[in-house]
Amino acid sequence: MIGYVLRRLAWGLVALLGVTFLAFTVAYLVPGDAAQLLAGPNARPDDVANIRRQLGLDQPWLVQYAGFLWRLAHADLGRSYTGQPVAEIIAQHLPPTLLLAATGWICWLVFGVSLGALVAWRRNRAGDAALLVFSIVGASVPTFWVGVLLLYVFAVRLGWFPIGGSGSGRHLVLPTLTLAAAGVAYYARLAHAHLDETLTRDYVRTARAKGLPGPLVLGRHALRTALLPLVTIAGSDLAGLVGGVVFTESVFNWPGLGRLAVERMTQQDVPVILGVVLVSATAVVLLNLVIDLVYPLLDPRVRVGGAQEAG
Amino acid sequence: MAAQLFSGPMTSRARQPRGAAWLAARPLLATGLLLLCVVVGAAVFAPWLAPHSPLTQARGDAPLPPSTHFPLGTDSLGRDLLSRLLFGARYSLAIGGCATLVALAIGLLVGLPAGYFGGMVDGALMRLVDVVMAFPSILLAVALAAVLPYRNLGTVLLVIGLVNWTTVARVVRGETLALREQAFVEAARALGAGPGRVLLRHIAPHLAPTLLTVASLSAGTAILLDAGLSYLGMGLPQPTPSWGDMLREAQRWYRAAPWLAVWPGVAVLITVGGLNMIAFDLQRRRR
Repeated sequence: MIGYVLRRLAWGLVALLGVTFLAFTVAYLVPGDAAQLLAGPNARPDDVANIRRQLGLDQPWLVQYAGFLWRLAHADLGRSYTGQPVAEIIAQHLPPTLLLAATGWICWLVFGVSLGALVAWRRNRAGDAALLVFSIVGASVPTFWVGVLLLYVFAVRLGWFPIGGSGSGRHLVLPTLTLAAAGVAYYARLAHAHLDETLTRDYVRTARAKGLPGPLVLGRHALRTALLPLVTIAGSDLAGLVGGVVFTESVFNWPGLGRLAVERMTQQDVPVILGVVLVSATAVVLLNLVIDLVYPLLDPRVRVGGAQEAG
Repeated sequence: MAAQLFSGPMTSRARQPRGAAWLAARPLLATGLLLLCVVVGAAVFAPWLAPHSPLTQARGDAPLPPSTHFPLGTDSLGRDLLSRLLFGARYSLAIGGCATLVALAIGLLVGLPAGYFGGMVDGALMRLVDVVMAFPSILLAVALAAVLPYRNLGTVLLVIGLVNWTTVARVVRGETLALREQAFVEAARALGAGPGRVLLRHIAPHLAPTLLTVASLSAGTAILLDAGLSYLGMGLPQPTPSWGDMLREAQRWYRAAPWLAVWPGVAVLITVGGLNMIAFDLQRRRR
C-alpha cells in the first residue's frame, strides 16, 4: 500500500514536470520575438537586447526551462505582453470558470446517472434505443452550436435569460445547459452500461428475492458497485472542464479562463495562453493523483489486490 | 472519453448474413453509412448541386432570407448559404480524413512499440500519452494555433492531428498487448522474424478492424474540433466555406438572420453523427 502511494506520488511529479516541459517547449518554439513585442515597435535595438538579457531570452533552451521552473515554484508565471503579471490575470478569471465547470459537472452526474439508471432499470427496447440516439446526438453535436441555439431561443426570442456575461444565477442557466448537453448523454450511456451488467449479478437477484423494494435494490446494492468505475472518469472530467469550457465561455461571454485564452490568442499574448494551458493541465494531473490515492479507500477490492496499478 | 470503450482482444465472429440482410440487421451501421453517403455525395457533386458559386457575392450588405433564388438565404456578404454548405462538406471531409491519417500515423508509431515491447518502452511512451492527455484538447489546439506563424490547411491538420493521436495510441497499445501473446505471433518469432517484421506483417493486419473503429471516431472528433477552431476564429482564413466559420458569422447576425445559425450546425451534426454511428456499431460488434 505504501509502495503504491509512493509510486503514484512519484508519477504525479513526473507528469507535472512533463506538462511544464511540453508547455514551455511549445512557447519556446514561438517564432515571434517576445523582447521586441515587449519593447514595442519603435524601440531601439539596444533596448530590445537589454530586455532580452533581462528576461534571459538569450540563454540556451534548457537553462531557460530551469529558470521557468524556478519561477513557477514561486507562483510566478511571468508577465503578459500588456505588462500585468500572468498569475494575477489567471486568478481573476479562475473563479467564474470553476463555478461554471462545477455546476455543469454536477448536472452531468446527477442527470446523466439518473437517466442511465432509469433506462437500465426499466430494461425495455424503446428506452435503450432512445438512450442510444441521445448519446449519439450528444457525442456528435458541436457544443457551441447548442449554445448559439439556446442563446437565440431563450435569450433573444423569449428574453428569459440574459444574452451573456455573468453576475447572477440567471446568467448561469444557459451556459450550464449548453455544457450539460453532451456530458449528460455521455454519463447516461456510461451509467447504463455499468448498471446493465451489475443488475444481472447474483447479489442483486438475492436482494430482489428477499423482497426489497426496487429503489432500495437499485440505490443500496446495484448503484454502489456500478458507479465505482465512474469515480475515476468523473474526477478527470471535472479537471478537464477547467480548460474544456472554452466554447461555452466564448458563446456566452463568460469571463473565465477559456475565453481569456481565446481573446489573448488574437493578440498573440503567449505568456497568458501558456499560463491558462499550464493551470488546466496541472489541475488534471493533480486531480487524477488525488483520485488514484483515494480510490483504494472507496473500493476494498483494490486495497486487497494491493499491487493493482491504477494509471 | 472514448478510450474506456475499448477492452480486450477481438473475439471470433459468428457467421453473418450477407448484403442487404446484413445491413438490415445492423440499423445503426446502415443509418451511419447512409448519412455519410449523403455528405460524401454533397461534397463530390457540390459543383453540380450548388445553385451558385460559394464565393460569389450577390447584392446587398445584409443577409437575405430564404427565397426561391437562394433556397437557404444568403450570408452577410450575399453569398448563397446552400452553396457554401455543399462546398463546406468538401472541406470538412478533407480535414476529417487527413487529420485522422495524421492521428493514426502518430498513434501507431507510439502504440505498436509500447504494446509489443512492454516494460520501460511501454512505461515511457504511455507516460508521454498521459502527459499530452492532461491538456484539454481544445485548449491545446488553441495554444498550438497561437504559436504557429501562419495558418493554412497543413497547420490546421497538424494541430488537430497532434491533439487527436492519444486515443489511437492507447487503443493500439491495448490491442497489441493482447495480440503479442497469441500463438501465431509466437510462431512467427520462433521462425526468426524480427520485431519489425512481426509488428508489420503479423500484428498490424489484425489491428485493421480496431483501426476502422478508431478512425471513424477520430474523424468525427477532428471535424468537431475543426468546426470549433473555425468558430473561435482560428480555422482557415476567409473565404474558405467552413461550417464552423459560418456559425461564427451566424452569431453576429442572429437577431436579423437567425436562419444562418441552423444549417451549418445540422451539417456538422449529420456528418459527425454518421461517423459516430458507424463507430458505435463496430464497437458493439466487437464486444
